[in-house]
Amino acid sequence: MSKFLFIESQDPLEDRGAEAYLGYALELARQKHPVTVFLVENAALAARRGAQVPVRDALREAGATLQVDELALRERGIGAERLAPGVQQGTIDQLVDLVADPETRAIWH
Amino acid sequence: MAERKSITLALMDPPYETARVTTAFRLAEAALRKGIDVNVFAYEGAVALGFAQQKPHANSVKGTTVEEEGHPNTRAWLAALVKLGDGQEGRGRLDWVNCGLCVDERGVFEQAGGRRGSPADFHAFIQRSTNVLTIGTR
Repeated sequence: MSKFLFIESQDPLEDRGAEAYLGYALELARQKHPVTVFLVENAALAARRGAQVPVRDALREAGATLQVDELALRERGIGAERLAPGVQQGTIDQLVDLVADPETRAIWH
Repeated sequence: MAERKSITLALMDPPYETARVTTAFRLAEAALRKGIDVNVFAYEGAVALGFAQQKPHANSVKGTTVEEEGHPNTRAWLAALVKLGDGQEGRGRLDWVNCGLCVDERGVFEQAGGRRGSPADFHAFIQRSTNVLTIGTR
């Protein structure tokens, strides 16, 4: 079963395309594919506890791994204590490991 | 012995406009430091990332000099990546290709690194890479 890495760079609260893109990830997660969603750049805003991002919470419930770029968090002044449940800080090294995994299909939005 | 890993990044964004460029450079640097070979196909505006005539500038609003401002130029980032991507001491190798037609259109012939190529190089990169990540512009 293929593994999928969805790198989201857009804030879902601002870009409806992000919601649709993450919807693809959700569908794959519901089909039991291993799915990682890695939030970078402005998508880090969606990692905040209290941000109304239903697809983020649905991804967590479907078993997807949710990570957010620690640099994007620092740039935006978002501390780890403000992250939504199930969202973990991730490093660029961790992202590279996922991109370089031959079993993983990596997609950027 | 494990097969050497390589990733291909397709970039399209010009310098100084989006965070995507910064993220792409961060990915490339981290991969090279991990011993992963990195292929970059710079397409459309991304061929200006390495344009050698980019110059740092002072900031009159803040009253800072060129030196104080430390303004980053993408040509310097590319030059640093080329240096890092020498394949020595466990680091990966960098192969950066600028789309030749895109270079001609923009007149950015003087480059701080990389080589001139075509979509055929991109195809070859795909064939030999562990994985491919297309960072498309919007």
